[in-house]
Amino acid sequence: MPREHRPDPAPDSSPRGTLWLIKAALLVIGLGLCVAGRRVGSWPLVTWGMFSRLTPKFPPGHVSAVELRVIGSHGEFVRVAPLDLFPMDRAVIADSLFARAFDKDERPLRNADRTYLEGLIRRRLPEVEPRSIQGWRLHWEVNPRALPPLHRDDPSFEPLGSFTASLQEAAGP
Amino acid sequence: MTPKSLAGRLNAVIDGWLTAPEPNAAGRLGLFRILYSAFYLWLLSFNFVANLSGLPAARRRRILLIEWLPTELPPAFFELLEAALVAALVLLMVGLRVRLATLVVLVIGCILEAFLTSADPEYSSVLLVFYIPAFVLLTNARWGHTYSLDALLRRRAGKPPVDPSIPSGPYFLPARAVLVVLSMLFLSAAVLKVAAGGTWLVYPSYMANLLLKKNVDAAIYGLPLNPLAPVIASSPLAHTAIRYQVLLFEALFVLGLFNRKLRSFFLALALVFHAIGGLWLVVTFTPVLIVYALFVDWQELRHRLWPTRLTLMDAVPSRVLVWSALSVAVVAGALWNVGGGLRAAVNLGGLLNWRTIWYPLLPVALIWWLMTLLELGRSAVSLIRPSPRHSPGEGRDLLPGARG
Repeated sequence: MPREHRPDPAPDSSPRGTLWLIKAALLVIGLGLCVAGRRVGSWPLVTWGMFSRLTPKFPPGHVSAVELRVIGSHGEFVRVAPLDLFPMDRAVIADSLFARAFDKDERPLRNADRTYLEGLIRRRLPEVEPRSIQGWRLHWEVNPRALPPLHRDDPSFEPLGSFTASLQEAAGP
Repeated sequence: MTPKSLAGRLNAVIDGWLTAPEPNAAGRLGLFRILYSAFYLWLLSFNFVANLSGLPAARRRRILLIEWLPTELPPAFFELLEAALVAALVLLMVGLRVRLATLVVLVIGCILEAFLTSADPEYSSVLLVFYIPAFVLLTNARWGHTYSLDALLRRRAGKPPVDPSIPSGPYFLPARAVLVVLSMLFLSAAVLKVAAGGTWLVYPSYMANLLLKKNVDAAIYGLPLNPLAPVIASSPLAHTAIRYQVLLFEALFVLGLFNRKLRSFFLALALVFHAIGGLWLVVTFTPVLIVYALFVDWQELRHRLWPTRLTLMDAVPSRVLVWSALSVAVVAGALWNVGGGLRAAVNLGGLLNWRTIWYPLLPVALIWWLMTLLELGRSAVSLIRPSPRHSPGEGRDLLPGARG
């Protein structure tokens, strides 16, 4: 294949108008980013403000996370972690959803969260016909400077309650 | 010099920078289009956008772009959009109706990502879903001029083909525009960390605590740990140095606009930066990866691996090619949300995920960065001690930015 320089044979070889478009777009984007600041509502015109306002404290000696146990119609159960429903970059959606679905307060929104969670489980885990969904809080002792900082396979379990798949209140808060 | 003539000169310098020749520009952009589509499909394979159907409105952030859509949308709506996006990406990959496919990818990609962002902001995806296709469209979708069915059909219609090895600057225009945006975004990251409520200069132990916290998060998720986190956290010199290095890198990334060697240096450093974040800090900035691929000379690579012209399609009639491409696109879209087999095929059964992709990339990025560092060192030495064999100024950018 010839590799010497040849003039651009493309029909739209004159970039004059394109150049103006690009420069105008870059100007608008630059100004837009200044105006957008930390706002997410203007997406895709957003700045990269992630981690900028964190105030990370030395990790506490104890952490916890919520896990689900989906009880099937034949009494079998499936453990569901956030990563079973969302990929890692969106796992925070499941993290907060699990916690909210078994929150002791926020009753009106909690029911909405439970409805959503149930629909989500039905869509993502079609092999299980959920009869009820239990919430369990897993607790770990943490030594932040150790490797590993916690023993993942050895948590203590705290039941958070359950709700039936038809969303009638069952045991628990 | 009057302000008008100064503005005119500045405008000429900017035009010169934006359209400066880039080796193999036409071919590398065409090959990048294929890579972009494959990368996008791979990222889509992990994200089930229909997951968001039914998410209570109170749990969403307001995103102006999707404000006009109803809040209650059935899963089928998302699955339909996702299927259309997959079909458009397949067409983009093979290069059929490239301009239309790019437009569809831009519009549907933005809508779906806006929904995901309303549930959980993911800042690195804007380049993939918005800036790259938008700048490609603004520059006449030239990434379809090479390595595409469109190009083949044009050639068969008797129109002159585009030589992939031409260094035509306009072909590289979207890459340069994306580089400007990337510089703005990195600069915004640095500014927001130190001003407007930023905490990076307020908390001396910021990085130490962040490293330890991320190690705890990784342990909870069952991800590999950062073995250096406890060591770095117990050394104020080390974690303070890392904190300032991050700020310096983000603030100085803009220098990559002024010189090609600096561009390579900062792009390689950015890759190392993201890889370390991905592997040891549970920072999922993976969608940004595709931007760096814009600056790799894929045409040169292809030429080395396969120096002869690709003739695979020459014997196949145009009609067969077009209908085959359309059929594959429709089937891929239709099967995308059936079972999970197609998604699994794309991400190798989950083997290639947001994290594992960084394992092969980290050593490559490190080698690239060291090479650019060496080259910058050589340039600095030649600036101090000009070689008698060269005329003064040769080998460096006389006009900042003139060589992109």
